[in-house]
Amino acid sequence: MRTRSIRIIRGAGWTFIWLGVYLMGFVAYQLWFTNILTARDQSALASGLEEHYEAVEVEQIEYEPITIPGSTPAPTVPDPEPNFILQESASEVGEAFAEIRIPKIDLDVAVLEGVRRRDLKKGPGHLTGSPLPGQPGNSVISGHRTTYGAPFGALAELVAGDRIEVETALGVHVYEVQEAPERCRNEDGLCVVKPTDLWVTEAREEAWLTLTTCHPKFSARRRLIVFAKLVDGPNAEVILAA
Amino acid sequence: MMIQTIFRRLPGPAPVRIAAMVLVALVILVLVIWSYELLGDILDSGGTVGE
Repeated sequence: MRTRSIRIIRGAGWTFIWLGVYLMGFVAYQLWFTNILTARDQSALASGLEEHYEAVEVEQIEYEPITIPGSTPAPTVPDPEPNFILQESASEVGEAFAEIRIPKIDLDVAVLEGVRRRDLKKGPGHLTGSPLPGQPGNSVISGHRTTYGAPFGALAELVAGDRIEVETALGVHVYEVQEAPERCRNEDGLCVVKPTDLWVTEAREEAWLTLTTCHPKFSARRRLIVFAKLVDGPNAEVILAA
Repeated sequence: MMIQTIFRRLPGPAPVRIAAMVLVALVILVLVIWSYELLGDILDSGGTVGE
């Protein structure tokens, strides 16, 4: 009887030891090893960007302002002269096509096309189907907050007026962070939504950049959203004038 | 100690037993990493909306 009890206690002890080892391994893998993987991928992506900028096709297209149903239409000008903006060809999913820089949080990383799990492990990903940065509408970029290099780890520190630069083949597009909309603003002034709140990715008038990441830190329960508006760049003058 | 016990219980000559142990260790490693990736999505899924 005593021997049996000792065996049970010993078995339970070993189980807890292995469970502890497993959990320590999990923490080390997520908070340390994934950062190494992403740093390696980022280094490869960043070195291929210059080549991408040279290979990408750029064309001039007529600018047609986006109108959202329900919004006040812009006053009609008789026979307005056509305005042209620059547009680059879309990249393949998984390919780096831009660089995002946020001086306030010391961020400077390559951005990939696509938001598949395997893309986001390499760096922030552009939501396929949303306009490319610098184009009219709402360009959406998602990124990890605590693991895989945590590119958007400090996104909550951004306040209205902070600059976000996105460099693409067209040049540097400068965005300015805007106040969180009332419908999603929490007590800290942050825009926090459910992962299913698709309205944050919907089309917008002028040119916007929407950054999305997990919230709170160490949880994927909600999303932290940062909205920024294009203020400068190759297409800014035409888009803002319209 | 547990590893030694398993090693002794395996049939065949020592090289075959070593190869079997290495194979088992690799399978366990793959399963552990796979489970880490799965659990990692609870901590941080990448921040996508509607995906």
